[in-house]
Amino acid sequence: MNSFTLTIPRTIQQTLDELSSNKGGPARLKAGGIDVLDLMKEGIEQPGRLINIRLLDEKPQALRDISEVKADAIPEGVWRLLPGGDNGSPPPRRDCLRIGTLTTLTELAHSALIQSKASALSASAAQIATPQIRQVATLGGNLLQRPRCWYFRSADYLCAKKGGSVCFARDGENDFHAIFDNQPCCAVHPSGTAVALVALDAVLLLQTPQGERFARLSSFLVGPSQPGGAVGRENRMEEDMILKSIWIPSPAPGEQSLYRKVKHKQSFDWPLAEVAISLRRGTSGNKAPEAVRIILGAVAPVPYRARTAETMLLQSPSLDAERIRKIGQAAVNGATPLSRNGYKVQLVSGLVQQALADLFL
Amino acid sequence: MSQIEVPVGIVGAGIHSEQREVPESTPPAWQPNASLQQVGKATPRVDGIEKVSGRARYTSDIVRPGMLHGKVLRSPHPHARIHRIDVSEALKMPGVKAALALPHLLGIADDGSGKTTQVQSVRYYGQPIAAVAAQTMEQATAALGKIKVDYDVLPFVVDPTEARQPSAPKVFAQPVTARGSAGGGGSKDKLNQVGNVRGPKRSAPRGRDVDKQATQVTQALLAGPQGVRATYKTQVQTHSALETHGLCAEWNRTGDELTVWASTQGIFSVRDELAEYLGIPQSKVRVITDYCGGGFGAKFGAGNYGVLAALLAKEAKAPVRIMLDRREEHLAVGNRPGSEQTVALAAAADGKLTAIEVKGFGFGGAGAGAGFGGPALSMYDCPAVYVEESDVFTHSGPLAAFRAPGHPQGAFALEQAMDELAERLHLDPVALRDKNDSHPARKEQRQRAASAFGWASRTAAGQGKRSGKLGEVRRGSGMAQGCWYHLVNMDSSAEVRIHRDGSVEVLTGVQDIGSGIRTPLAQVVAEELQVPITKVKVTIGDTRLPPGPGSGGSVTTASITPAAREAAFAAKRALLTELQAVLGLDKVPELTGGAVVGVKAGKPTAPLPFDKACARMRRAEVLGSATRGPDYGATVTGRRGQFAAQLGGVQFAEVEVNTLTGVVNVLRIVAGHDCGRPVNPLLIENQIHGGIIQGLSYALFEERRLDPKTGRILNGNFEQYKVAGALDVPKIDVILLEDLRGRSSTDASGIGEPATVPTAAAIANAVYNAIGVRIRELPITPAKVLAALASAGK
Repeated sequence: MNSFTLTIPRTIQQTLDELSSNKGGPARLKAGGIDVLDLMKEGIEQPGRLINIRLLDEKPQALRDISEVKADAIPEGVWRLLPGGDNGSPPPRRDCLRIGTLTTLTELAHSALIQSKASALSASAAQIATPQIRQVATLGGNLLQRPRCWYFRSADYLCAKKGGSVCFARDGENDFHAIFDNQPCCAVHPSGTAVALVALDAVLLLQTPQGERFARLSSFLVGPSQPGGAVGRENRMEEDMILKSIWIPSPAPGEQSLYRKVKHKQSFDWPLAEVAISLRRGTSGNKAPEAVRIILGAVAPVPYRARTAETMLLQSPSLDAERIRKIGQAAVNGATPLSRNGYKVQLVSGLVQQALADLFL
Repeated sequence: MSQIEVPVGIVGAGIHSEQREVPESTPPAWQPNASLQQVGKATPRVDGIEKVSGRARYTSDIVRPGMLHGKVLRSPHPHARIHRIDVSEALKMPGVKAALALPHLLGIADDGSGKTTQVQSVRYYGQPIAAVAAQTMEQATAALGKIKVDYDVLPFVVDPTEARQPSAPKVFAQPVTARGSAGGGGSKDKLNQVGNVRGPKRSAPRGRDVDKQATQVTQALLAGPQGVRATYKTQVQTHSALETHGLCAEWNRTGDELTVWASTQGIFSVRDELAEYLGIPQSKVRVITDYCGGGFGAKFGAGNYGVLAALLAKEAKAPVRIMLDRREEHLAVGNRPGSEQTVALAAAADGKLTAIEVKGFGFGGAGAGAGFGGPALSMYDCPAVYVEESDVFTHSGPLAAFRAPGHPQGAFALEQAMDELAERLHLDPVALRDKNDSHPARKEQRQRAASAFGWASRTAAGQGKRSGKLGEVRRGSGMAQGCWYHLVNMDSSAEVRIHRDGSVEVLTGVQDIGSGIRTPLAQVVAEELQVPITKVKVTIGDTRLPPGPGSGGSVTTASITPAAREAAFAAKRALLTELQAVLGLDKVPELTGGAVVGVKAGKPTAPLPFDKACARMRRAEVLGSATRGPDYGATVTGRRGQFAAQLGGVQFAEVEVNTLTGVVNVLRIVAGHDCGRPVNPLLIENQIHGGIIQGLSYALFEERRLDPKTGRILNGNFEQYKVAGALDVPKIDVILLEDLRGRSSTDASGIGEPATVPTAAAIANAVYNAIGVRIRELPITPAKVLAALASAGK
């Protein structure tokens, strides 16, 4: 690991000042430190300065806090990005859950509020890594961590994501790699909470020296082949930005969410595949699905939306095992598996079927 | 010599008495454990508190005054010729006190300029080349980057199938001789070697002619009315002990005596290797191991890191500690070699085996001796058995002995083949074994474990219970068995001291690999002296003590507990003789019920409690010492590896397989095992649990992954190299036999290795029973399960 200086700012403003200071080379924010210390130990990143924001706190909008905010108190930037604002009209104002970026995964998993109003998120947080890591890892860090591709994580390989010209995994050992959008890099996005939060229409509140910025998580995370994407990054985070909070709309009547994950090993393993589903059902009659998001994880450079499966689901007059099987197959429509990850196509389809069975059977 | 009577048989299945001819000094045989006070009782580890409270001192805890940290430079190429190693710039780095190339790599010593010229080859990515010692680990790491090595990079091959092609780059230009280490391994000399393929080594069961067996097998396979033939593959597994390899070396002021603290399972083999390498007498090397965080066969020798630490310490005139990191563990200190085995079985219609043939290849990287034939050669009563094993060399880290070398691989293939044969013959897998395996312990284990497991309610393949909302989770059961050997290491001596206050010391140079040998030592001595176990202090782990066995081959308890008991017996006789003189008794008194009872002037004396009796000694202590003798009535075939009996082991597994995701969940394992007379059932169960968990991890998760294009390791960590964790561990029920054979004064055998032999095969058979498709390749990953289901159209 390289030598570095460590600063511990007290306020957001001090943090911004540190970030924009040029003294001592580029700075890297450290919250729980789970990923950044790994990257430094592996020799993948060598920041000259670390800014420890783990103990940073600002009242009244605490950075380590989970709360429900009434519709009229939602920041305008968040409100404008909530779902339902299509056709030029702003989305309806509604209550939101606000989660401070420094909230630990354990706090997220144990929060009664999140369990009852965003169960996909609590389920995803509860299944990450180990109890020890969850105790320290933060939501912000989990969303912004770098991929786990074993070529990317090895200092032996100057791969495309690290500024080289080759993706070693593409024609190499790619068992755990992407089956969608796997050009020019086939690393999958590592964050389980991101899968749940994209399904839940999360909005990020970011602080820059010029003021607050807002972004939908689904467009903030960007794969290399998507507009505005680059192979060396997984999101639109800028060097002088701080992620302060994550906002998700509180569920309306008939809305629910679910998260499921397949791991090879049940203790301490990365997912082979994940799925998060948010669903709105009619509140009367046969309670037919009216809106759905099916988001797949560990299959693409960013959480992947299975749109064909969503459409099929909404068009299904009724859902039985056979229909669920068909929707599961549709979820992997257009997959382009590599030499060693063809099994993931079958696995993801199976996982979606299991998730739908949980919801409908 | 004299005659003693010994109990023989499996407790609960009939015990009879036999005569044994033994040396005069031999204590009388113990009756079954039920009649004993300490031995056979589930006794918590005497050092348990020390371990769980963090006070136990491991090698990685050793810090000596002025100690430097050593780091090893490793080859970044899987195959290269080295022209020059120049450490001169590294020596100028801050904090660096010594730097040197590995002398035996270069073949010549450093000439003082820091430069060497001899040409040598590196044969795997991660092979050690040079090392530095510095005041901090960071300084040492930084200095490694300043060592200049001139390489001619050469073509390489890491894929064992490609390595068999005639055009493949050769790992060795010359025929290889493979010397085994203290932990086994090694291979027969003068085997044929063509390209990267060395062999075949041809074998038949002990005492049978190989050529005749080969012919008979061929005939039986041709004639056999019923047969199966299939190819099975196993992966490379790394030892992954919790404590990494490492050693701290410290020379005395005059530089002629060396003390090392080593994470090892064999303090004497570390001593002997260092003495030989450094050219100093064994008496001037002292090796200390208070505790070792696991070894599994890979921690017998001093290792390149140990040699480097000793040389750096000499040069720097300061203690040097080298502890490898996790990545180095996966790269360069051994592994269980992979294999590809084709098993052919033939049987009569009634299930009686007529032929067993195993032919295949072992993949031990740049090391030889990757066999797997043990189970086939030893387990079944079959008239024709023939095995061919060849090594395939690749440019990857060499194998090392690993918990029952060759056996989990061999059992995975043979025991799945038996399962396939049973199905072909419409026989129950247990019944098929009953027909072909007369080993008394395994016979008993099959019966008791099958009953505990509920084997009778097992359904046909693919017909088991289904669950999940889509019926996607299928349940199945399977069984497999294994064999290992009752082995004894004769380098096993112990000394017992009885002090005047009635306290007792046991001293022996055995070491605790982690299985807890201090406790059985305390138990056997407490039993012999009729004192509470708390009175017995056990001191081990130092080559200044009487020699003890290396902890490998499951020999430790079998080798050292008889020596300890006999030393206690001798000390007791010395005490009683002393008491006769002190108390003026008519004859030597007896120790009975924890008290000394004698006869004085024709009348019995009042019982004198042990500690009060000791208080009457005229000197500070009495001593007894003893060395492990040969097994009663057995032939001594050598200093090590005395073979007297075969150990069994039968395991039953129940699994759930998710057919939508391919994930296998092992629900429970019922394991029947034997290890002679169980000295401490708690520690034995602990070993069996560990063996099963390691076997499960081998069955489902572990696999060293190399990048075929670069020859480098991809998963040299505990994140992507997958080892079973708490949530992956099934319910484990142990059925432990008390199998008395009357072969030593404790009659104990080992358990560490047998416990892991059948697990992967039992799980594989259970997976087959669950889904009706057989997976013949380890590890059984979701990818393989899904592929198997897809190919079978299920």
